[in-house]
Amino acid sequence: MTSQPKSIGDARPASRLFTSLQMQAREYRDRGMLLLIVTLLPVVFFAASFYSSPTGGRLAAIEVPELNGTAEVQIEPRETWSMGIGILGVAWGVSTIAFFSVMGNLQRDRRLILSGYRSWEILLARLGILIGASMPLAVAGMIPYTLVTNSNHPEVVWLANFTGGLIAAGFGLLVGTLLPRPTEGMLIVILVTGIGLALNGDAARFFFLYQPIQLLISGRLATDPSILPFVGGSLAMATAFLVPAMFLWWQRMRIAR
Amino acid sequence: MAKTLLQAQDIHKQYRRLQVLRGASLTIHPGEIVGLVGENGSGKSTFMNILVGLLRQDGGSVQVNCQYAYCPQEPQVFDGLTMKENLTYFSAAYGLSAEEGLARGEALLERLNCRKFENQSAGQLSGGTRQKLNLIISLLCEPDLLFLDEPYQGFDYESYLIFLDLVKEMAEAGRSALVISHMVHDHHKLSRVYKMQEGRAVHD
Repeated sequence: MTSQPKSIGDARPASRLFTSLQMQAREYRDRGMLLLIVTLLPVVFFAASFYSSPTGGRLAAIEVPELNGTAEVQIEPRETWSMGIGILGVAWGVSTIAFFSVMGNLQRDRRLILSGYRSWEILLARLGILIGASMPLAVAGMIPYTLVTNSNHPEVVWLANFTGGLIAAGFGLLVGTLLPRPTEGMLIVILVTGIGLALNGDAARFFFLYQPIQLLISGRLATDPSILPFVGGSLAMATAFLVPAMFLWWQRMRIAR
Repeated sequence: MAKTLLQAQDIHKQYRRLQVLRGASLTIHPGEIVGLVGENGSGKSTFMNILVGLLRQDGGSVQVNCQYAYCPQEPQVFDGLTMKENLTYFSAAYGLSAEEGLARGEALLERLNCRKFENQSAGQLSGGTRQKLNLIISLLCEPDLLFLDEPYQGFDYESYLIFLDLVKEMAEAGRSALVISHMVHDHHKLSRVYKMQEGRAVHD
């Protein structure tokens, strides 16, 4: 068998990559409602949890990662409930966008590849969009912590939300390539993200957003926050989702010759 | 001996227990417009998907010796993008500059009487106009060989006649097409017709 020549004209890969980035971004132009929902989600999650938790009573102790070890900090009970909720909101939003960006475009992406696009060009552009979406969503996730409660280091809170979004992008892509059907895929996204609401104590360590949640706690309450270990852990977790997602996506996109 | 653009030999394909193709073979030379007909479920689209490379055959070989493009039966266009943006996106895929791709695309939009919709989102277009966009995308790169899977579904008669003209011009320019067709009455416009029968492509 001979190969299909991959390019008829002389447009450069960088130009193709830019076009893909541009077109994938433009596809969200008419999806204002989706973007509004995923932006409001972290704020609504936080508000629902914060204002429905009991007020007053005895202060609760929380372990706060500091640069040199951990410190125990006493906070209002309702603040412990709402601690990681903004990240869950950001993660839910980004994983939903990531899921639909893969699931909804499998056939069209394949046509692009058949027409000459390299699969990595489309995927790299998609990752660029998802990373770009995580940045403003992380701001939305940060707002409650800076307005309603006090954060010692708001920039670290933003970083925590952003790294949570990165992990969720990998998670959403993986679900989208494993289960390219909207109902089943969305149920998995809701189920797995929802599990995070119920986890406490040592069990929470096994949740995929544990690292960014610890980073958020450190940014909110630590005097000298511990950043690098949790950013590193978050990037490792994002990679653990992204590598199989990319492999599975490449398998689905592959042209037989 | 004339150059062969496509040679498929003894293609077999099975979906679980259902044997769809049982040794289908087909050859296309430059300037030929070849039809592929058959009943629903006879394996036409499966055969074309294998020829294009979207499906892997269980047995047999496919040799494509030229640049080709594919127009799927269901329009595979980006609904959130306008017609022009779709043309730009696929131009980039073909390696064409945006200017060159748009110039070719706009000429085809004009030809198929749908240039007035060029700034509308593909998702807002009528079925027939989406199908025209689907066809135009595959014609953008001016391929040596074009695979068309029922490309005129939803076309009005006038558009269908324009489509036939486009195909005729392709053949006159020495380019070729394989068309899955139900238009039995227009078979005289084709160089050859294969009929899918019991998993084989039989010369009609």
